[in-house]
Formats: sequence, structure tokens, C-alpha cells
Amino acid sequence: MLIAALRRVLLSVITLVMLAVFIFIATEIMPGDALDVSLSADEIAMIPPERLAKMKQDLGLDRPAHERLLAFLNGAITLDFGKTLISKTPVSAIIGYPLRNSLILAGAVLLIAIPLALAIGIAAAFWKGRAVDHLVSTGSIIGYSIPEFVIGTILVMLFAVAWPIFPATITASTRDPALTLLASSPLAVATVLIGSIAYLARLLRTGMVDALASDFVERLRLTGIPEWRIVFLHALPAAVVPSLTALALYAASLVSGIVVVELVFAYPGLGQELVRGVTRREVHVVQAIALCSAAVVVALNLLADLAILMLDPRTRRA
Amino acid sequence: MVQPASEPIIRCSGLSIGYVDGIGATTRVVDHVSFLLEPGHSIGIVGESGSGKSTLARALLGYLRGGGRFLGGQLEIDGVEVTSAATASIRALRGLRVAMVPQNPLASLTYHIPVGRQVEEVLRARRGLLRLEAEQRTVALFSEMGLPDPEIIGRRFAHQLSGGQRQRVVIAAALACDPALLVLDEPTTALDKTTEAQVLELVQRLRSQRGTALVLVTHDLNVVADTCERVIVMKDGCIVEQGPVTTVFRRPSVDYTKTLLDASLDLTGDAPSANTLADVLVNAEKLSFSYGTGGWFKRPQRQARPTLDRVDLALGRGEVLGVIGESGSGKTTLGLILAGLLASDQGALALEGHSIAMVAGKRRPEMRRRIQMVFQDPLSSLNPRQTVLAAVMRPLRLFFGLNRNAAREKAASLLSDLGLGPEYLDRYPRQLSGGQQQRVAIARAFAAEPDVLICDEITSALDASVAGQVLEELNAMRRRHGTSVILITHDLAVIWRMASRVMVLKDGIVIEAGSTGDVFAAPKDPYTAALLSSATRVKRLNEEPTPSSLINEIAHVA
Amino acid sequence: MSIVNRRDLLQGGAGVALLAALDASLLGEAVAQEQPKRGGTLAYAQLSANRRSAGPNNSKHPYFIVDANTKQIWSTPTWVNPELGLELEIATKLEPADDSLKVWDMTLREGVMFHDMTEMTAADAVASFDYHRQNAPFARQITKVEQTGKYTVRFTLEAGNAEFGYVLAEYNSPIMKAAPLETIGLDGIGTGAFKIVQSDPNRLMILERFESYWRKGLPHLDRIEIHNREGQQESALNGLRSGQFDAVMNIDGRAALQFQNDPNFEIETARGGYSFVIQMPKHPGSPFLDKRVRQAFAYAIDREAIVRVAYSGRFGWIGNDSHLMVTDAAFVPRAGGRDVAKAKQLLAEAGHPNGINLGTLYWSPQLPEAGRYFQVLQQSVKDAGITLAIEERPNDGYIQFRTGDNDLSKGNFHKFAMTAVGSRNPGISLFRMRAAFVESGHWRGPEHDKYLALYNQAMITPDAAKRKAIYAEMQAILHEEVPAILPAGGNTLMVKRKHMRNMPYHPQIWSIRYEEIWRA
Repeated sequence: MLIAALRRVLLSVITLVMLAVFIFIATEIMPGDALDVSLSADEIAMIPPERLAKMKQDLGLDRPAHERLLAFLNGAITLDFGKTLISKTPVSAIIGYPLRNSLILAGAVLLIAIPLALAIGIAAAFWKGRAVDHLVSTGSIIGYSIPEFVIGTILVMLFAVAWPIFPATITASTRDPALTLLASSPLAVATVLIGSIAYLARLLRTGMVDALASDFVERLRLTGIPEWRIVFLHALPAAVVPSLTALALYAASLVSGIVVVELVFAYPGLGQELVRGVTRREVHVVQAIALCSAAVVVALNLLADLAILMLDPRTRRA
Repeated sequence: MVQPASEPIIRCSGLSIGYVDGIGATTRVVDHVSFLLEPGHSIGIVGESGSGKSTLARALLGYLRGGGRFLGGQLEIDGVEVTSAATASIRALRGLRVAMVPQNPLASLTYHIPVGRQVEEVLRARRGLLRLEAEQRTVALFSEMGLPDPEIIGRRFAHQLSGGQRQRVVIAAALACDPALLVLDEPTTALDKTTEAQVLELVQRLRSQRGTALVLVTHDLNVVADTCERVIVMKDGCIVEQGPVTTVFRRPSVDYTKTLLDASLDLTGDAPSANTLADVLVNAEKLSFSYGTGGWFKRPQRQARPTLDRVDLALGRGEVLGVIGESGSGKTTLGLILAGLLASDQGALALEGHSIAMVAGKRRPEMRRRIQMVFQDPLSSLNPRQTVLAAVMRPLRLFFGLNRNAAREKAASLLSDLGLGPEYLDRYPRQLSGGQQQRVAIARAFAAEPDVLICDEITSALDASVAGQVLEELNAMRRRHGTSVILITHDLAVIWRMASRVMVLKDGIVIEAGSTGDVFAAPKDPYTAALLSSATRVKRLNEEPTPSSLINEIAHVA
Repeated sequence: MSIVNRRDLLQGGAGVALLAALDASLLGEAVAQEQPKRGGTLAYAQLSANRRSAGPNNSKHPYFIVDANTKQIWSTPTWVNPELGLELEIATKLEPADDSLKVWDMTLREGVMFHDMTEMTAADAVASFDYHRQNAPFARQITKVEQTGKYTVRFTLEAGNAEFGYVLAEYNSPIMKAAPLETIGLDGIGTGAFKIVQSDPNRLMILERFESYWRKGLPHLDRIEIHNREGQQESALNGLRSGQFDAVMNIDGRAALQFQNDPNFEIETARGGYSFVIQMPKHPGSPFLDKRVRQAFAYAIDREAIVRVAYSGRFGWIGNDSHLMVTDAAFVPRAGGRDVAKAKQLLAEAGHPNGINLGTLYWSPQLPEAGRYFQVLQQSVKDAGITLAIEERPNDGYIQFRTGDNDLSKGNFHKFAMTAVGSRNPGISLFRMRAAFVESGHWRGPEHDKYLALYNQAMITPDAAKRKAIYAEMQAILHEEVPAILPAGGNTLMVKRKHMRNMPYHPQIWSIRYEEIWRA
């Protein structure tokens, strides 16, 4: 088991390095460079061409790609992603708080969504084909298929404009404490939550339906074991195991990918910083965020794999 | 007629069970079934798949799978009328009075809980034992089941046990609360023959020690012959015949029972005679194969030994060579290597003395044409989007360049040789029955006019009656075309009927080879002997009446 | 030297009354009669941001905060009023030393305090402009800046510039507390009406009243909260509707219209915020080499239709094919307006009696109305027999795409393309039509040389009226030559809640006077 775990850790590290190289290559081929977008056209009009070339040189934009790749990989190990091209700010200082904030939002959502989705998924699977199940299935399809910005906008119109009990846009600072941030973001949390519960409930319902249809559940029922023991002690772990990888991916997508919700509510998370980085051609910021997102995906996948190792003894053969 | 000594534990009369599908239509799968079983007695329920025997077995515990309904009749188990009883009283029966040993012990044990805990759970939840008592009782049960090191086994997970050990654990869980009735559903299907014999012995022993009544559901008549006093033969949900095992098996009164019995190995006839290998068509030396152990990016497979280990093989022209082995013996791997679908790690392969490439892709088209293969599951080897005509025509056009009309004519004639009319040409595989699909696959193989045909378990997915026909037709075709056949199967009866020579594979090694008559008459290897012994139990009933079968002569009230 | 000195004029006792009368005439009776109230907070969102993303360590530096907010915290020597006229601000005097207009002397106001309660002197101005001349494009013409007294500073320029005063009003010309070049400005301490209490880079800045602001009695507000909603107009408008924001700056005209009938809101516009220039390449073989084709194009465009459709008739203005904004006092409209017949005649004379195909005009969505703008343009020139395709290109890398590297041997001449231009003084705006700059389409010839000679003359003409006459002459050349076309421009606008008073918009968003805003 230890060897199996170590093997997965090492695999994750290799994956991450490969992703880092890929991210570097992908960001290198973006059109334009930091200078074009960091200066307004009005200002560029006033700068002689030879001075522009000099500025590019100062920014290191003329160095060969492999040199910059090595510098990037070297920096990534020490969490030093370089400085922004124009304001010369360390990238880590720029993305630190947004990363934390994205983790806070994703964490809060998952903390509420997972238990609720578990309860809903178990109930729907247990009473499969009954009214509860139909209600859950319909509800989750609706909840999952409506785009987040529609849900968000509806929530704002209802609870911030028509009936102003919650803030419509988040005015908290990037560096506010977690609870302050969450307290000022109820509608953003609710928006993500609706989609999350819908998705996770469906996921767990499917897993639970499969688990309840398995031979061991039938054997237990034929032995007269109480239903609650069957559901919670036997079927539940079996339902969760196949869902764990999907759950990890979903959680990772919450950390790195709630761009829409961040834009609708102006939540100070990683998605906003990424959008800003791309529009401003801050290559180092984009690289660092992409790498952080990749690291979150890889880390959560690793966690899922390790959890599966714990829960499913069949996978422990290494 | 003798009056039963006590109240029957099963009193089933006119019982009908059906399944309701999504749109409310009902399919009847058990139809007016009646039988009795006295405490301590045993009964076998035999039938092919779809005969309703498994549904009936579960109904004995008051359990129907999703969509199942009792449609009529009575079923009284240990005095409880389960067709109408409250859930609570049915639940009170389960585990305590009636227990079930399910078909697949691996899937039937919760994979993430140590097996010992699962038996303890039965004792604690059903018997109300305390933790320590339950642990001790489990260890005792495990030793009673003949499990070695019961304490250590109890801490293991299901996948860490051998097939026989798992089956013993499941039986232990079923017997934990000393039920009066034990229902076994295909208890030996997942086991190899040696283990099967041990498990059946255990069941027999437990029954005699505990006086448990036994219902044994199986498709294998040999198992029933060894274990049960009475037998019920089911077909399409109905009982077609029932009575004492000896009576039914010696003098079957309906054709269906006869068909089932015919499919069993009967050594009384003659095996096809073996010629001396004068004209060797295929010669293979030292064929070996190991699955890779995987690198960092693959889940490693622990491969203690090669799947196939230096197998030599010679096939004569026009000959049928049987390859016997149980699952995992390497017989399918051998077939794939001969067909060029896997490459042997070493050794050589020659056709008519000329060496040929190991991988089909490197063989000349002519060589590819001359060796064809038919697989166990025709549906997965036929393209679902291709009509029968397209499937059979492909080799005709590819290898012989026939035009469309000529190819169609030829395809129709091949199919008609196999008993399929021209109306099947334009159908899709899914519109055909299993037997028809396999006939199409055989026709496609013969379309290439091969010299060698490799048949890998081509009848094991078919019901006995259909399987018999398909084998007959195959035999006729190969005689007509002069084709040599390598017949890979676990079914000794098929070999006996078709193959002049046989080789027995175990763990990738040939342990015995020779003419079928010789090998079956006097097996040299104990493994071959065990295979033969377990396959011939039905027939031996005719020869050596056992005490138990004498008891069975006592007539029962139906 | 005659720079209007409104504030000095108004410093005396009579000035207040005069100011009130002036305000009354400008703002109307009702508003003018209200007495400004002291206190309260202004929370606003801005949709535009400059591109210099700040980090935690420089988030208080004037170069790295959003340009629109600089003057709340720092003062500049001069100020550009909403009519784009120049006024003195923290300087009390700005004069050229001689007729070459290359050397300028500035006298600073006395007794102006920084937020840390030290007095601002010429040393601070010298340190600040030493920084600006090395870092800000517009200040690069300053070759030397030196202290000549406690409150006096001398600038030396690389060439004469009559409009040098405008450079001192740029958002990149604030006076910071003197410090070495590496650290100047990082403390966020200025002499403005508000001081920074919290700065969250790219997101939020909170300012509070500076009690010792040099304009006595100001500011009215206690606090300003600036929320950056760059690229998030919907979020900003949601905040406005829910009452979290009092105003949203730089809103898109169409989005603004949804507030026009709501009694709680007002739309404030500033005429002449920005414009679009169509650069016409003049490489060998280009149809634009022929002046008559350019003229025909200019006559054929229905500029009124563009204002009507792309700017809802309210938020746009008709351009005159120079870079000047309509607001500018020097702006001279094109004579004659649209003339399809004349356009056809010019094309016929140029050898295109059956019309002409001008190829593809490229544009990028730099502003939300750009799509509609160019569709109307494309349709309207059809009347004169001019066909052209229009194609949208992404903002990313658009400058490179549009300008090319001008290497004709590689076929890399600049494109037939449009771009947005901002609001600046005539000296800067008219300079953009020089041959050496892509926006003129590398216009050449005797008329160009005459244009440039006039420009150079204007730059060393101290008298504003005379300069205005030169500028008119230059625009006449542009109207005849049409090196580039600037068909129509837009007004900048904001939506605000009615309770925010005395908060007019400005064509230069960074020149809004926040200290005069008050909350009812």
C-alpha cells in the first residue's frame, strides 16, 4: 500500500512537470507581448521605435525560449514565478490572495454541497423510480444545465435589487479574512452551490444506484441485514469510490474555474486574475495561475487516488 | 407414496412470478410451479439460462429483483406464506431460517470489508451476538468450512482469497445462524473442477451434520447428480419434469431432459478415431506468452508465471484437435497466437513446413486467409453496423476478388449449409439469436476457405440444445471443406464428440496429450482425471447406484 | 504669455459670487441654489483601467493605480477643464523664459501640505519630474528640470512647445514627495484632497478626506471608495442598482440607456471623449495614393447616421478628419457635410466611374459600439459606389497586426484599419498626422511638409489666438488632403445616483474634480 501510494505521488510530480512544460509552450505562442497591451496606443504614439526595442530587451522578451523555460521551471520549484513585466511586482504576491480566495469559495461550497448531495443522492438512489427520485433527477438536470451566470443574475435580481437583502456585487477586499469575504458573498456561494449540489447529487445517485444493485447488497438483503447497515456501511463506500475521481476533478474545477461567477459577482479569485493576466499579456501571471490550477488538479487527483487506496482494498496491489 | 415425516419446509403450489417493465408489460418467468421439500432433504433445480430457476431460487427467500411480482399461487417457506407476508416476517426468515449462497462469491462479498467482519455482522445483526462472541463464532465457522488459518483469513478482503475460499466464506455467512433451508445458486460455476469437488463435498458434509434442507440451482447436471436426491427440470418458467435424480437422469420422460443429458459427457460411444500424424499442416514449437508487468504508467500486473509456457503443437490435415483447459489455463492465448493476433515471446510457427510470421499483420494475405478464427462471443466479433451479407462477403471479395453478385450467391450458399435461409443476409447481428450469430461467424470464417479454423469456446455462450446443432453443422462443414480445426473448450463432452486428438492445458503448460479415446479412457495426469470425474457424474449414476439415490426412489408428492 | 488663470481670478472676495453666477448659468437654477453639504461617502465603480497592473508593493504609486484616480490623491501643476482649456492648479505661474519656448519657469503655490503634513516645495517638483521625464512618454520632451528657488522650478525641453502646460496636467505629472528615483511615489503621499487609507491592487481603493488640503473648505466628501470593475460592467451595474455604488464610470452608451427613465439615476456625459481614426495605407499601388479617392471616401460617409445608430444620437459627435475632439476650442468642422454626388464625381475623375472596391477595413472591438459603427459606415459609402469589406480582429495583438513593421519589401505595409484615439490638447492631437506616424497612413508630399511646418511654427507661437489660427489652417489642409479619416467620435459617460451632486463628467476621465463633489 505504501509503495502504491508513493508510486502515485511520483506519478503526480511527473505529471506536474510535464504540465509545466506544456503551460510554458502554450503561453509562449500567445500573440502579442506585454508591451503592446501595457501601453495605450496614445502612449505608444509618443515612443520612438528604437526605445520600444530597448524596453523589450529590458523585459527579457528577446531572450531565447529555452532559456526562459529553464528559468520558469526553476522558479516554479521555489514558487518564484518571476515579476510582472510592467509593474515589476513578484507574481507570487499577485496571485497569493486570489488563490487563497478561490480555495475559500471552493472549500465553502464543497463543505455545504457534499453532505447535502450525499443525502440527496442516497435518498434518490434508495427510492429509485419513486417520486423523490424523479424530483431529484429533474431538479438536478435543471440545476446543472442552467448556466451559472443566468442563476447568478436571477439571484441578484431577486435578492439584491428587487428585495435587497444581500449585496449584488462583492465589495470586500482581496485580503479580507475568509469569514468577511464569505459573509459578503452569499449570492456567489449560492450560485456555485446550486450547480454543485445538482452535479454531485447526480454523481452520487448514479454511484449509489450501482452499488445498491450489486451482488453483495443482494446477499446482505437475503441475509436479513438491516437496511441502514446495508446502505451506509456496505453500499455507501462502494458508491463513493467510483465517484471520487470525478469529485476531485469537480473540486479542482471549482478552484480554478469559477470565472463566470467571479465576473458576475466580482469575487476576488484566481479566475479574475487569470482574465486580467491574459488581457494584459502578463505572461508570468498566466503561467503561474495555470500552473497553480494544474497543481490543484493534480493534488486533488492524488488525494482521490489515495482515498481510493484507503477505501478500496482491491487497488492496493502494487 | 409415503407420508412426509414432518411439515415441508417449502410448499410451493401453482406459483407464478413475472417482471413488470418500464411500460407496464409483464413477462412471466416462473409459470405454475409446484413442488415440496421436506426438512433435511435436497432438491436440484436445473435448466438453461432464462428458465426461471434463479428467480425461483430468490423467491424461496421472499425476494424478487426489481420489477418482480408474484402473479399467483402459493409459496410457503417454513410456515410463512411469502407471497403475501409482511416485510417484517419475511425479513425474519432470511438468514435465520432460510439462507442463500449466491452465484458469484467475489461480487457477493463487500469488497471493502474484511470477510471475517462480514460473517460477524450476520451474527451480530441477526443473532444479537456481542462482538467477541461473534468473532469467536466466525473463527469456528471458518474452521468448520475447512478454511486454513481462519483468523488470518478473516482479516483478508474477498479479492485476496482463492475462489474456493471465497465460496466457503459465503457458505459460512449463510450458515452462520443455522438456517433450516440453504439455497445455493450455481455454487460451483466460478470454481475450477478440483475446487468444485471440494466445495460440493463440504456442502454434502454440512447437510448431513446439520440436517439443513438444500435447494441447489444449477445448469450443470453433474453437480445435481452428486448432491441432490430429487431434481426439477425447468424450461421457460415451467417445470417440465421432476422426480428422484436417479429416475430422471436414467429414464428422462421428456425430450428436453434428454437434450440436456445428451450434452453431458457420455463415454459409452466412440471418440473420433485418431490417424497417425502423417500429413502435418501446422507445426508450432515452444509457443510462450507473458503479459507485461507494466511500467510507471500502467497498473502493474503481477505475473508470477507466463500465461503460456513453451507449448508444442502439431495439427494434421483434416484433423480436429481439442484443447481442453479451464479459465486461466492459457488456451485462449494459444488460439490468439496461432491466429496471429498475439505474438509468441519465442518459438516458431510453420504452415505446411513453411515458417510464417508470428503477427498476422506481417503475414502475406494468402497466409492470413488460410488461418481463420471464430470467437466465443459472436456479437463482439461481428460489426454491429454491418449486415450479415456484408460480413460474409468481405473475405470473399478480399481474398477471391469476387464481384458483388457472385459474392452474394456464395454467401447465401455458405449460410444455407449452416441452416440459415437467404432472408438472413440483410439482417444485422443484433436481430439474430445467439446461435444464428455464431453460424454467421462460422460462415464468414469458411468464406475464406481456410486450411485451419480455430474455434475458441464457440458454444459456451449457447444453450445446450442450440450448441449441439451448431457443433453438428460445424462438423459437416469441416468434413466438406477438408478443414483442420483447433477446438478450444472447457467442455469435455464437445471434445469427446468432435476431436480425434486432445491436449490438456493447465497453467500454460501441456500436461497431457494424445488421442481422445486414450486420454479419456486412461488419463495419466490427476488433473485430467479430476476433469473427467466431475464431467461424468451423471453417467455414473447409471452404473453405480448410491445409497442416496436409493433413498430417492421413494416417491414424493409433487 | 496668456494662460487663462481662472482660479487666481476667483481667489478674491468678488470671485465667490462670480463663481456662483458662473455655476448658475452652467448648471441651472435649482442645483446652483443648493448649498454643498459636508460629509458622506462616494462609492463608485470604474470599468476602464490602465494596463499597469499594480502589485502589493507599488499599489500606492501614482503610475500603478488607475489613472482616473490619480488626481484625488496628488495634485498636478496645471489642470485641463472640461472644454479642454488649460488652467493653473498647484502652480501659480507658468511662463516661457524666451521666444524659443524651450525653457519654462514654474512657480509653485506656497503653503501646500503633503498628507504627512510636510510642506511641498520646488525640491519635490524637481524630484517628481526627474522621475516623470524618464518614465512617462508625454514628459520625455523634458531634458532637464532644476530648482531655481524654494518654490520655483525651471524645465528645459528638447524643442519649443507652446502647449507644454498640457504636459503638466497629465495624470503622469503628479507632484510626489521627494525621494530617490527608485522609491519616489511608493509611499502614496500626495497633496490631493484625499489620502489613501487602503489599497487593494486592481480591486479596491479607499480614500479619506485630507483636512489640510490646499483648497480651503474642500473636499466636501469624507470618504471615497473606488471599486475596479474592469471588464465587469454587469457586476458594476448590479452594484449600482442595489445601491452599493453611487456611480459607474465609463459605461457603454446602450447600457446607460436602461437608466434614463429611472428617477434615481442620472446619465452624465462629457462631449468629445474619444474618436476613431481610419488609417489609409499609401504604399505603391494603393487606391489611397490618389487624393480624389480619399476625398470621395470622406464625402461618402454618412457621419450623422453613425452618430444616430452607433451612439443613439446622444452620445456621439461628428469628426473632422483630424485628431481634435469636438470639445476643443481649436476644432473646425468639415465644410459641406456629406455629399454623395461630389464623391461620385471625384471617383469618376480618378478613373472609377463605376465605383471602386477599397478592399477590407479591419477593426477591433476596443469599444462596445465599434461593430455598429463600422456597419453603418460600410453601408453608407455604398451610395457613392464605394464597396469595402469589414473584418473584426481581436484586440490581442491588434497593434502589431494593424501597423505591421512597415517593411514594404516584405509586403508588410500597415493595414487599412481603424483604431480608437483619446482626448488630448491640439499640440499632441495634430502631431499624430505626421508622415512618420502610422495613423496618417504615412502621408507625404508638399502639403504634408506645409502641415508640419505650420505645426512647428505653432509650437513656438506663444499667443493662443495665433496658434488657434494656425491650427485652423492645418485642419483646412487635412480637409483637402484627407490623409486619414476620423468620421465620428463618442462621449464618455457615467451613470450616477441623483444624490451625488456637482459631479459632472469630463472628456479626460482623470481630470474630474472629486473635491467639489458632495452628497445630498
